[in-house]
Order: sequence, then structure tokens, then C-alpha cells
Amino acid sequence: MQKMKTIIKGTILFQYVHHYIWCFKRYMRVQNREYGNWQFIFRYLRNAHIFMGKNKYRKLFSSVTLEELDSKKYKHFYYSIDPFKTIKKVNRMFGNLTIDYSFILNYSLNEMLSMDTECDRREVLQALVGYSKRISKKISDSQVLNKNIFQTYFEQICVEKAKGFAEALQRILFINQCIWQCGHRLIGLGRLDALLYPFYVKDKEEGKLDDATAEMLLKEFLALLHEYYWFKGDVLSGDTGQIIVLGGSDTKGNYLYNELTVLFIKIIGDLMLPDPKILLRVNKNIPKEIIELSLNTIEKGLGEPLFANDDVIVKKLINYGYSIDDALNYVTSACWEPFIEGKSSEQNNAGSINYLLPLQKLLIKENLTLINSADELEQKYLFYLEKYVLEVLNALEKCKYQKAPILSAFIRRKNQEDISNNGAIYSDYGLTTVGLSNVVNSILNINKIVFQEQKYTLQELEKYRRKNFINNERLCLMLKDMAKWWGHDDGAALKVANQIISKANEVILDYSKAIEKGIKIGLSSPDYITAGKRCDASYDGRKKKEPLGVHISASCSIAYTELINFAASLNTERVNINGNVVDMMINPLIIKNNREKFVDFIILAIQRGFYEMQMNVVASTTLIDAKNNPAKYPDLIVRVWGFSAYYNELPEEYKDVLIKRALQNEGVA
Amino acid sequence: MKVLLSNIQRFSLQDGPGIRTTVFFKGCNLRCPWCSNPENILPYMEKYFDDVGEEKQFGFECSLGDLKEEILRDQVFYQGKGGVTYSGGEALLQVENFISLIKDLSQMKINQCVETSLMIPTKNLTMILPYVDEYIVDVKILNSDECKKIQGDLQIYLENLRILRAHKKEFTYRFPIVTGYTYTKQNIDALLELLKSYPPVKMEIFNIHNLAEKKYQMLGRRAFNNKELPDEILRNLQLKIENMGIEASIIKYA
Repeated sequence: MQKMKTIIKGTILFQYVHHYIWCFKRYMRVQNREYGNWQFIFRYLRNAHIFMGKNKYRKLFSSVTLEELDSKKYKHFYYSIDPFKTIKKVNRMFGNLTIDYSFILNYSLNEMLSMDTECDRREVLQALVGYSKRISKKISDSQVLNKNIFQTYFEQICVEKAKGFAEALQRILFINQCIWQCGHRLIGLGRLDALLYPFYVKDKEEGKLDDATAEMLLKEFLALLHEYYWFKGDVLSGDTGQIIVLGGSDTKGNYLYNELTVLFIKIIGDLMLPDPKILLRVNKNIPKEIIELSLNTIEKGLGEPLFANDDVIVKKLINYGYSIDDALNYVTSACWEPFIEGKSSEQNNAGSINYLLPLQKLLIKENLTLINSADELEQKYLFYLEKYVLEVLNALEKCKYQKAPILSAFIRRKNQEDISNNGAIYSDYGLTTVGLSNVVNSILNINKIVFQEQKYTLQELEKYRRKNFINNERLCLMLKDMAKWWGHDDGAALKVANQIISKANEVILDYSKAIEKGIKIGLSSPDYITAGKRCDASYDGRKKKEPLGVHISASCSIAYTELINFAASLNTERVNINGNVVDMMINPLIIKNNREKFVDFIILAIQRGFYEMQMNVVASTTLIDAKNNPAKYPDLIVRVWGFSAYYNELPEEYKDVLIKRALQNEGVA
Repeated sequence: MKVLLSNIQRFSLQDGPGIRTTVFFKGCNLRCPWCSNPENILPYMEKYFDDVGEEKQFGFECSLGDLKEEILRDQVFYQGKGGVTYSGGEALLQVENFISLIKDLSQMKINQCVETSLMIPTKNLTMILPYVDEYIVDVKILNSDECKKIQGDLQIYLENLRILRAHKKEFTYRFPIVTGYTYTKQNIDALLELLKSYPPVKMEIFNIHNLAEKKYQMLGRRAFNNKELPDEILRNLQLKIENMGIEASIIKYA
């Protein structure tokens, strides 16, 4: 069966049909589309090509359509992707990662070619040389302003390292467009403030750059990365993985930042685009003005920067097994999963653990009359959890990845192998997890009404649950009303949650040792809606197919300080490092009326020790009105799981989750 | 020792400096018709039915040990200027029951604030003076006869203000704008006089909102229907106060 599937997937017809559906779906979900449906189909039929076999990269880059040079759009840089041409995909494609852009800044393509002997990577690098020459000729033939400067950038990239700030930005754009062109998704941008700083300083010292020019260049750079927004979106529009990581720490815990850190945060707030996104690394020594500046951007509703707390994360990465230097140089893959910039090919979204599934299995398989206490229920749950996690891990091992020579060329490797063959210095797996809050609330609800108050027997409750609480709305509402354990720091929820996390850690560590490959998990997941659709009703008053809990957030109005205390007390030791985001809904008035105190709160929350934190600053009234009157809110941006997106482009179910959470936060629901 | 509370609200941003935990005591000697915490008026637990029809109650008894534990949960967020605020109802009516906690937290250098109408027996105030750092004093009706309508005593109020001043305690005034009650020409004039005689470090003014309507319904009482005054009027008053050299701000409840 598997063999048959592979054969079908490999056929030309399948590849084209699949690519067409893929493109069309992505195109249709964005607002303000450039052309109509028929025009899109026509363009696709005219331009589409899927390259396969020998020299596919050379063929791809010699035939992609180049954007016409328009002086309004391309003032200092050129950036072009042909969404309709790609490489044949049979196995999983590597994505969700950040290459080491310093390669292309410190070496020419020819130098990289001379250093690499692996034939696929050489083919790609040669193709890139040819591609840069094609672009150079295109510029030369055009009437674009400053065409000599443009042209020089694309000539120099083959023969010399980057010399200046603008040239460095152009090289990043070039390699970035090439990676997207090869069909890889969710491409991170790395620590651009640190990477670009030497070029910025040199140009300033030589009098070639001033602050206003730097700002203008960065604005254009970011605006160009925002291009092809429809094409770059993955599961949802806006889910592009274009994360820029800013700030950092040194070995002594000093906070590292520079003028570019400040510029990036400011410009992201000025541009008001949902993409690219910024993640700000923070630590307890971060200057207050950086938090104030970040809050200005967050307050606009952009949902970014996401804060990643070095004081917690770096220690945990070292404890997991990364070297100190590498841990200090972490970025995240796509949303929030820490890994090492330019050294990791880790697929941190390789699979998902749904904590609710083993509880449902237990309730169906076990004789519930024999369960006499919450402790017994928890112990049985842990037994089912172990079996389930092993199933997920076994399935993970069967995944096959396609060779990725373009990524391999720009990732530091331990040998000559491609990253699909564990060539990268770090090539572990990462899993996301979802549903833990639902399990914790369910177990504590059962403990209260079955074992403590004895209002119902577990069998009675189970009967109603299996019927999706039909004709038992009151019970369902009561369970929902009670299910407010998760997020409170008084001990009950933390005890159950940490037991479950520890068990998952233990199973994963054992498995990891056996296969000699690291596996990480985290408490954040993009799957709260999709995984919820696969779940029956649960004892937290959640009905069949309803969404599961979002990251580390409360399902009721809760003090932000309490949620931070709760999150900081969750067991994120050992392998539980693959992203643990506290996700907060915030009414804009709270920040508007208490700005200074909110800045203090963020600084103190860093000291308290959250792992990561993101904030959606939007009122429920705005979200409800925008759902009913989308035309009134074309620019409304919201934070979804780990990215920002136009609200109007989200499926209705995602809007509903945001509305529900905003209402809960405001104490209305 | 136990106290009767209605709520403990963490991450409280408008009841004193910094990030605070506000403890709402149940029971009040005044009967302000505009009260936005009607569940805190009566000094005993009150039953009500929630949206689902479940019987619930406003009010719970809390031991001082539990209260201290709850207050200290956010200790890391108090750094600098935050801390605990005792509010209500009228917190100082129960002061004898929790003075030991006040002393305890004072020793731990936790910043303590009390929000009070000051229309309470003077001994209740003098008891806390050595330990409490911040005072938010409500300004309501500043005419003796009118004040009686809300069961207040202006003489006690002024005497307690005098004591606060005599002990060199700094205080913030909090003034609700209620048409026909606190917002009358006579009362505003009296307020400006009060500011001269007993100047605060800061003055907070706010519109009375109708957010408590649901709570009134649940308690089976009629809600006070206040007509919120335009921001313009609040700003004018703010300006008048600022012209006297007193810092004034308009509080908005989110």
C-alpha cells in the first residue's frame, strides 16, 4: 500500500495536480488578490513547471520567471520568486529552519563551490551562480534607477564576500528567495541584528551610511520579504515562518543588543505588516527602553515581538545537550521552538502529541467501577499515555525526508552528508503537544464531582460524555464552569500537569536513548483546532470536535501574574524545551491606562521565569465587529498560534477561538 | 483569626502604586447608591444563582494564614513599589481581625495600602498608622446633612483626615463623579476647599460605570443607573485641581 502511494505521488500528473491545488488554496485565502480566479488558473497553466531528475536545480533557476524591475518597488534591492515553478516532492521536505546566512555574507558563491565536494550541493551552488548572472543581465536590460548598484550586487555575490550593509541585505534576500523557490517552507531569518551589525558599523564609520538610510533600507528589505505573502503562508495565511530573532545574552548574563535591534522593533511597528515577524530574546538585564519600545509594537495589535527568556531557555538548552556557545546562539524554528542558528536541521514540528487521546482511550477501555480515586485515575492515565507516546514516536521514525542540498549548503555540518542524512551538527526531532490543559481540568473536575462531592459516579459521567452531553447541557455547563484549574498557581493543577509532563519526558528520554537521537517536546502547538476535531467530548465541558486549550493560557479571566507564576512552575526540564509559550489576550485599554506598570510587569515576569510569552492586544468587541463586518477591518492583525496574520484571512473557527478567549479574558464568558 | 472577604484580585493596577494584590473585604457602613461593589456592602455571606442556575455565594471566610499565602504569591511582582491593597466594602471595619497580618507584612517590607472611606471609628485608623504605607481616601459627599443620606459622618471623616495629616501620612483622594450626588456645584466647591485644607499627594477622579448591573441583578437589588458624564467634564475638573498644584488623573476601568 505504502509502495503504491509512493508510486502515485511520483507521477507527473499527481505532482502537477497537487501543486495546482496547493497554490490555488493559498491564493484564494488572501484578501486583496492581484488577479481573478480565471486569470490565476491561466497564469498557473502557462507558467507551472515541476523540475525533476538530473540537473533539476540548474533547470529550475534557469527558467523561473523574473519579476519585472519596477523602480517604485525595487529602490535598493531585488527580490523575485516564481510561485508556479518548483522541484518534485515525493517525501517530506525540510523546512521550519534557519540557515546560517553568514556563509553568503562572508564567502562568495564561487568560494563556497570550491569548498564543497558533494555533487548535489555543487549543482545547487552552480545553479545559484547562473541565477545571479541571469538577474544581473535582467537588471542591466532594465530601466530601473540605480541599476549599476543593483547589478554590482549580483555580480559580486559570485566572486567576493559582502562589503557593505545594503549588499549584505541583498544577499540575504537572494538566498532567501532561492530557498523558497526550491519548495522549502517556513524559512527563518535568524539573528539579523547581530549578523548585520558589523556591516552597519563599518559603513557608518566609513561615512557610507547614516541612521535614516539604514532605516529606509531595512524598511524596503522587510517590505520585500512580505512579498509573495499568499505563497509563503503554510497551514494558514500568515504562517510563513519568517522569524527575525533579535537580542541575546552572553555567558555572564549581560544583555546583548545594538542599534539594529532597536531599528527592527521600531520598523516592524511602523510598517504594520503581519510578516516578517520578530522574536525578542530577553533576560533580566534587558534595558527598560527595549521593553517599552516592544510594548509600543505589541500594543498596535501585531502580537509581536514574542518574548523568549534567555535566563530560562539557555540553561535548559545546555541541560538538554547543546554546547554553551550554541545554546547562547539559539533562534527558533518558525514559531517558538528553540534550536541552533545555522547548525540545526531539527524538524521541531515533526509530530504532535495530543494528551487528551490517551484519556479518551482509558475511559473507553477501562472498567470505570474499579477506579476509586483521582490518584488511581491519574496512574491509569499515565499508563495509557506511555503507550500512546510510544505509538507517536514509532510513527515518527517512519518519516522520510527528501534531500535538501540548498539548505545543506548553508547549514554547518559535521560531515559531507546532506541534512536529510543527519549531516547537520544537530539533527534531533521536536514534537509539539496539545490538550494538556484539557486533561488536567478533566481529571480535577472528576476528582471534585465524583470522588470528593460524589454527585455522580464516573460511569454516569462517562455515559453523558459519550453522548456528547446531549440533553445534559446543564452538566456540560457545570463542568465548563468548574474547569478553571489550569493556569492557577495554587498547586492542584501544577501537581497533575507536572506528573504528566514528567511521564512524557521519561518515555521520550528512554526512546531517545534507544534510537540514539534526541527528541524534544514542548507545551505549545499549532494543533489546538485540528487536534480538537479528532477528539470526543471531555470532562472539562468541551464538546466533541471543539478546540483544545491554546498553549499556556487560562480558560477564564485570570491575573496575568498568576498565569506567569503557573507557567514558570511547570516542569520544563530535560526534553520539555520545544517551545513553552504563555499566550495572553489583553484588552488594549489595560495597556493604554497602565503603560508604565505593564512595562514593569513584563520586566518582572522575565525575572519570575516564563519560558516564552506572546500577547494578543485586542478587545473582544473589535474581534466580533470585524467578524461581522470584515470590510471595516482590512488591516486588523492578530496573533494566531505563533505568527501574526490578517484577521480577515483566518478561517472562521480561528476567529471564533480568538473571540472566545478575548471574552474569557475580559471575564464576560 | 479569620476575615470575611468577597474577592482577592491579583495583578491589580489601579489600587495604589505598582502591581498589587487587592483584598476586597465584605461589609460596609455606608450606603452609596452608586456603589460598584454591591456584593461587599452587607457583612455576611449572601447567596445568589449564577447563569446556569447553580446556587453560589458572595463572600468567604479566609484565615490570615491563607490570606498571607495568597498575598505573597505575587511577591516577585511587587518589587519596587507594588504590594497589597485592602479595599472593600470597608476594610478597616475588620481591622482588629487582621492587624496581626498587617504587622507581619510590614516586617516583611511588603508595601501596604488601604482604600477607605475614612468614615470609621478613629481607633481603627490609629491602629494601622505605624504599618500601612499608602492611603487611598474616598471623597464622597462633603456636606454634613447630605452625607447622612449615605449613612456617613463628615465630622469623623474630617477628624480622621486630620489624624492622617498629623502623622505625616501621604494620601491619595479618589473621587467618583456621580451626577446629583458628588457632582453638584456645592460639592465640587467643597471638594476644592478640602483640597486646600487637606491636600493629597494625588487626586484620582473617575466616572461611575454601570459594570455592576449584573451583580445587582444576582443579588436581587435594583441597580443604580448612572449617566456617565462626558470626558470633557472630567478633564475640566482635572485641570482645576492641577491648577492648585495637585497631581490629578482620570481613572478608566477596563
